[in-house]
Amino acid sequence: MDTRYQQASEYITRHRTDLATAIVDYHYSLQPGFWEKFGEAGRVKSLRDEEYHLSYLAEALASGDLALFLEYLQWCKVFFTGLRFPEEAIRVTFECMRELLQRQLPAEIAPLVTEYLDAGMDHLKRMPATLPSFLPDDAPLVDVARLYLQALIRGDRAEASRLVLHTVENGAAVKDIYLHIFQPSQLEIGRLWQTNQISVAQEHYCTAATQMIMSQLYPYLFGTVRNGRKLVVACVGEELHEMGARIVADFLELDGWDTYYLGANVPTESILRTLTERNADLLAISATITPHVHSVTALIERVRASQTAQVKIMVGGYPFNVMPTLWQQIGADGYARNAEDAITVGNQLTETAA
Amino acid sequence: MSLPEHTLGMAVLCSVDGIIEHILHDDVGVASHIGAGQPFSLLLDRGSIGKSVDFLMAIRAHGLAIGWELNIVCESVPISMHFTGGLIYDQLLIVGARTNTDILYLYEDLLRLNNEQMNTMRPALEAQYNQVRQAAQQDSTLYDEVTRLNNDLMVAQRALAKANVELEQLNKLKNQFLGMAAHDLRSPLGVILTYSEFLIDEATPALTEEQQEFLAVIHNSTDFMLKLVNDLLDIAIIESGQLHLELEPTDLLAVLRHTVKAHRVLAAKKGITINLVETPIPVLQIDAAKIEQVINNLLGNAMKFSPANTTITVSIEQHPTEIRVRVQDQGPGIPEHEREKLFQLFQRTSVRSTAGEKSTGLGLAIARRIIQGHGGRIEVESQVGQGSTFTLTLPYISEEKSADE
Repeated sequence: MDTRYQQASEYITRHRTDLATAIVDYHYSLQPGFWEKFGEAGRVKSLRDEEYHLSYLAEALASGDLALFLEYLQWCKVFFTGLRFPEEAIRVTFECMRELLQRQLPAEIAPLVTEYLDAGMDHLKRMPATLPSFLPDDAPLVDVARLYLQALIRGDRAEASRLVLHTVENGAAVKDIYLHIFQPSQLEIGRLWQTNQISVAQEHYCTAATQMIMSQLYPYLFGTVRNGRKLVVACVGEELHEMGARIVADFLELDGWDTYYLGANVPTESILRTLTERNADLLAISATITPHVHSVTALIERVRASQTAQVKIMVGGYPFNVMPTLWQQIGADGYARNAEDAITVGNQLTETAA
Repeated sequence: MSLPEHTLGMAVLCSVDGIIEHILHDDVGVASHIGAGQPFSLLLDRGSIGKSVDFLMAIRAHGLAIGWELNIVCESVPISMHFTGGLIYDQLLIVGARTNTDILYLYEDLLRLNNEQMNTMRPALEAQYNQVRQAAQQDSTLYDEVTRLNNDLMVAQRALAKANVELEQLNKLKNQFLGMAAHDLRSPLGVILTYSEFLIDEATPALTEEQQEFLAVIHNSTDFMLKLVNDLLDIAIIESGQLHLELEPTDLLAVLRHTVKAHRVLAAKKGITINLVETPIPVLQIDAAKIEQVINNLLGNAMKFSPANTTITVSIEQHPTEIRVRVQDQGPGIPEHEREKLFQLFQRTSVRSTAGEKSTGLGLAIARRIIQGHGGRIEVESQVGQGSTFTLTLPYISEEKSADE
């Protein structure tokens, strides 16, 4: 890969705060009337947003994948539209970013960044400003899933739990509950939050309630016949949304694996110790946002340098879905697109090991 | 009822007395109910009016009141909204929305308005907005923390649930193993025991004294091992939750007579007398074989630890709701600190048997479980140097009483 992408990424990361300040100043000087009324508080917010844009741009450059950045722009557009920002303001934000970076970056890397931003802005125009629902009419179990979501949004955890347990007792597979109720309703909650239809408090509540209801299905989960394989699952970074990794652990448990779910914020040392103690065959690492890909790389390096170097490593999460070759670049043994896929990939990886 | 999606809320400017002066923002439709010159409280449902007065007082007292939940009435339907109010110069700005986040957006909308009134208010409004925003940020940090906390709890819960299932399976496996081992040991032990008995009975004249001694040791050890294996089987069955009682109408006194008679021969050899104090008692619903096993165990223990020239007394008492059987000996007694562990598996006391008899350490544990299975209890009283009394109590429902039911 062209090392200049790496350089561009490093340059932006190193000067992120200064660049963000310069971009915001430039932006404000172009549209004084629009921004003046937001005052100092508005400026602080703009700076924070700008730093965020830059960190995504840097991460996309580091992995040489434009798609990562485009996905982020799509998210921005939906989010800021939800906040009733005029589309014009979103466009100008990135135009200013492009112009200023073109001027300030060293000549050998500036064109790469401009290329990304040009492509980004070209896409921005065509991207939809709203996301379709994650619970379309033709989805399996959609009636239950919708009632479940409504119960959670009302704050009625008991009803949500009753719905799920009732569905399982009536013969639905635990996997289907995960795939068609928990997962899409979590995504839908994210969408409702992003489009400002539910509050942060509601979003947090729904996540917590879903986790609790998942734990009520443990009797179905931990009763399956063991296949002797062992999995350790960890999330990197300050991941608040670690449901995906939890689902992967539970799916492999259902497949007969012995799984140990460590969650987020676990120090690398503890992960390494668990790998040794449990004599793990596979380590699954999840990252839900692009700026955390670096932490996955670092964790993989530590595992490879440790006494558990032989353990197979599977990665997953949003950044890997957006960029299908990212897992190879960071030194993983495999990548799972979703929880179902994780069963197949996990088994394949450990079969070749045996 | 909640507000429709994409509805922010409302913002009104009031006098310090709470009289509406201007409606600044209105997605809710309040303007059709109320207008300038009317008190803000008029907008609220009756239950919220008292609270709204507190709210207005809080604004006047502190300059700002954040996140008050009040119900407004729109088209005679009450809607719960979050309100934030602040003092701006000599007026009150009251902002209401579905959520505290929406209140922030409303403030931002107001800040964007460009008219004379807003321009004079702007510096004060900005200061207020910053305070509201800070409060919202604190909330948001707390939400994140609570979610992290919840994640950690869920991680721990998952680990516990998994460990629990593993432990259950291990326990099941242990019971299976115990049962299998005991069962497979029993047959060969039975063969050794039978043949050693046969040799003792038939071949003694042909054997030297030393050989006869060896044979006696073989016989005694095998006999003990068989007892141990039988006890282990009992424990395995009880521990796996399969203790099955065949409850039948039984004459408990007859069981006692029979058991005492069987032990008298052996007792006489050690110079011990067994007395049975007979009292007529009604027929009981019990598992006769299992109760006999318990009495055997209690009598066996009493004999093991009693010195010569002492008496063991077995007695029976009838109480309104229970029957008690006592086995009282004049042995060495059991130190107090050892009494509770008597009934635990594989526990032995420091008390020595009088003729070197061995104990499996399982008998009383089995006895307690059998009696508990009958809904009864087994207890010990003892005085070191004077003897011990084991009392087993079985519940009993008298005929008259059960006829009433």
